[in-house]
Amino acid sequence: MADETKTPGIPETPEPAAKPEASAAPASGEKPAAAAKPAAPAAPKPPAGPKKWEPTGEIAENVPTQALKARFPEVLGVKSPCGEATLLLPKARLIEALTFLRDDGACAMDYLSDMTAAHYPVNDKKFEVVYHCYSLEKKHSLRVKVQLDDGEACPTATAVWPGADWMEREAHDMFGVVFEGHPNLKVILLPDDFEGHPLRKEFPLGGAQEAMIRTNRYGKPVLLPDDLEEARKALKEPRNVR
Amino acid sequence: MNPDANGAAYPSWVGLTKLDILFDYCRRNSLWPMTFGLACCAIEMISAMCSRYDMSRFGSEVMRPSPRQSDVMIIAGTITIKMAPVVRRLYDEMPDPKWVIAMGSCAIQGGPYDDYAVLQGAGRVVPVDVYVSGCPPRPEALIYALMRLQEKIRNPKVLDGPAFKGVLKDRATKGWMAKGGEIPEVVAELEAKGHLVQDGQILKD
Amino acid sequence: MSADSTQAGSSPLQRVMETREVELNMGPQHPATHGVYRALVKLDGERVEALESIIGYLHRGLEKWVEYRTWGQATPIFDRLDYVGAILNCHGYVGAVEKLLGVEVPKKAQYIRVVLDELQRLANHLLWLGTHALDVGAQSMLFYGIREREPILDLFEAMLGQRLLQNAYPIGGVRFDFPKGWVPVCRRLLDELPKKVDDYEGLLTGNRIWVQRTKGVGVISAKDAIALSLSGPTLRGSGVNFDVRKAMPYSSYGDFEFEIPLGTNGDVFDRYLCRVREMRQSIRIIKQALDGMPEGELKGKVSKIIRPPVGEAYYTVEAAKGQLGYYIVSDGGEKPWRVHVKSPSFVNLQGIETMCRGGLIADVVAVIGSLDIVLGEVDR
Repeated sequence: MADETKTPGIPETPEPAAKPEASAAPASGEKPAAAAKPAAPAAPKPPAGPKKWEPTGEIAENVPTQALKARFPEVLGVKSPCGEATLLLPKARLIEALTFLRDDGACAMDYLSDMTAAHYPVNDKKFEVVYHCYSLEKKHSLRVKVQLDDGEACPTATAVWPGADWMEREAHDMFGVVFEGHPNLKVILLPDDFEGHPLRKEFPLGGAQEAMIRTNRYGKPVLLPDDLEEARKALKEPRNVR
Repeated sequence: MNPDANGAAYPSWVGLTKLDILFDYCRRNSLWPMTFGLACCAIEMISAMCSRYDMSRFGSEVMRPSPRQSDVMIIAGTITIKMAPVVRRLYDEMPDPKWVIAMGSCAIQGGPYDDYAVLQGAGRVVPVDVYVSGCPPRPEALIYALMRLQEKIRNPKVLDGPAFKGVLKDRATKGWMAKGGEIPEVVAELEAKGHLVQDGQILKD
Repeated sequence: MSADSTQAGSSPLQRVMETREVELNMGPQHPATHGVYRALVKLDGERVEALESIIGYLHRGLEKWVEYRTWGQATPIFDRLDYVGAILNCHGYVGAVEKLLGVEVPKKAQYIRVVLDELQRLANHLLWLGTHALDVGAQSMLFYGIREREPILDLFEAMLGQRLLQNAYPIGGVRFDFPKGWVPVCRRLLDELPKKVDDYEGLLTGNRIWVQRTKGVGVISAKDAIALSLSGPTLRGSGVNFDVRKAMPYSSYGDFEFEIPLGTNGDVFDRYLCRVREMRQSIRIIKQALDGMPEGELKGKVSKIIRPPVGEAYYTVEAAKGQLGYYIVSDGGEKPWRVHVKSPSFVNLQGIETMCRGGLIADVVAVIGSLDIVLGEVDR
């Protein structure tokens, strides 16, 4: 499985104030394998089309998946290499399905173990919001996913499990996913005046300080070569990131 | 009666000193730290204050949570950019004379975190006197740092010595020697290669 | 409570005694907040009406940082999450990667992991006891707690090379077996520790001041606790029997016999008792693991460059603070695509408003201590 080299939006200009607040679709589409890796041989790779993120493994079934499939026929099972039951739901039925999972006698998933999001620039729908549900008495767990476009809002799960409150705020901070109906969707982990959403793939690791961190940590180039020219050339090339 | 340089004679139980030296003696032997434990280094700082590595032997009797009552700010842990204004404000609230010990690699230069949220070193917001490296530094290292700070308070001229040289700013990677300390053989070798050496710096290749 | 001084005919005394709502900032630098945690407390006199938590002062961008390192290079950073109980974080991450890779960890390595995990849990609870008691007022407990912790840290240093933040486990097993002479020292420690724990319980559990300050304070019902996704002793103090070691046994925890202490009321006192009893159970587990240590390999078969198959995995361990979960997504490469840490302190901290509302301002300090939060984990 080859990695797709996605260049981050390192600002071309030296001022660190330019933040790469790119929207996902146009920016990442422009910079595929045409930008050669620093250690690449002479011929650049032919630009491959964007690959979908396709998990390996099988689709696993357990009591909650069967109950949910019986009730909501449009859910899809997702493959998992380690046998974890994962379901993909359409956004419109999400809250209904989560409420069903919580209230149904056979599922009884009263505990929200984790809720997060992920960014897949190669997929058609770029963002995924993931819920890990667990049942304290029946001891089975389930992963529920929703796929969203960039800018699409997701209904909030705080009505189903109040514990999703801060988890959704964090996903909003890190990815920019808006949760409709959330009581208090404020910044939680980042400074109040932070611009950008860090965990998106096009956000550089250093953020606003990227140019400073990569070049000027002690007033000398990070790579410490003997030749300053070599160092300046190496800095022009983007860091290896997807 | 021991006559001194000017001929005046004092009994042996009379001592003469400058008030500054006396004050410095008092200051360095009762440095009260401010509890500024931010992250993992705070746990080692707590260990340094407790029974086994007792820091109160060296004068840091109590840790004062209030900046108004403390002398030393031990920055133990990662400073994030959200926390940086708070650090600066607390430093400003401390009354003079005050010192800062940057403990741990996060406080020195951002630690392993070269990312968007971490300030790359406490030196970017407050003037630091002693750096303690380690991740986390052992409690003994923190006590040693306190002792070096005491040395610094006792004798500010120690700053000019080689041990306190500090970070070399804006020198090319081969700037290795202070002015006047060049080794003639090495300089000759570099000049033979075609570099231009002046004051211990390679100016041009 | 608050007299309305605009009423006609209010006496000067009423006007003077009028109380207004005060918003108090327990700022990021505070001796009792266990790190850089900020609470905006709305007070009516001394009663807490509302509490808003502001966190993020230690947000170090871990989840982004990890995406730029290989799977093996990323392991040490997870120690810095919960820096008091570092080995357990490491266990969670390597367990998640092993789950995704399908690597079988040998039995001997699993038992060694159990020993180190439970020792780390003991160290964590001792530090928690010290700082919690310090906040509530029993200052000498800090010195006792840290003093007991030092021999455990010496054991870690002898085996793993570091006192804290040990980077204990590589992906696939453990690095080293116990050094010569380690096991007798450990056993001696385990023999002495229960007596010390009894001493500290004697200092606090029957102590009238302690009971007055902690009983009935910071109550949260079981239903609320489950709804808020609390975990660990914070949840078990309310009577909910959920411990990952028993519910989803990992790393041979099923082989050992131990109990899960539960509370009844869900107040600070019950959570304190839960943790102290957990310390005793940890000692029991370590003794069983040392007695039944099997022979075998130390590490499973893992390639030099770790490339898990495309997919995702979610793995939970019972960290010292609660249920620590790692959600990792791999795209088949040598660097992670996404790693999300479900940190128990982050989720437990959501419950603080429910626990503190209606109580006194002094109880906020006791509640923060009983939640056992570590800001490195809350903010990641």
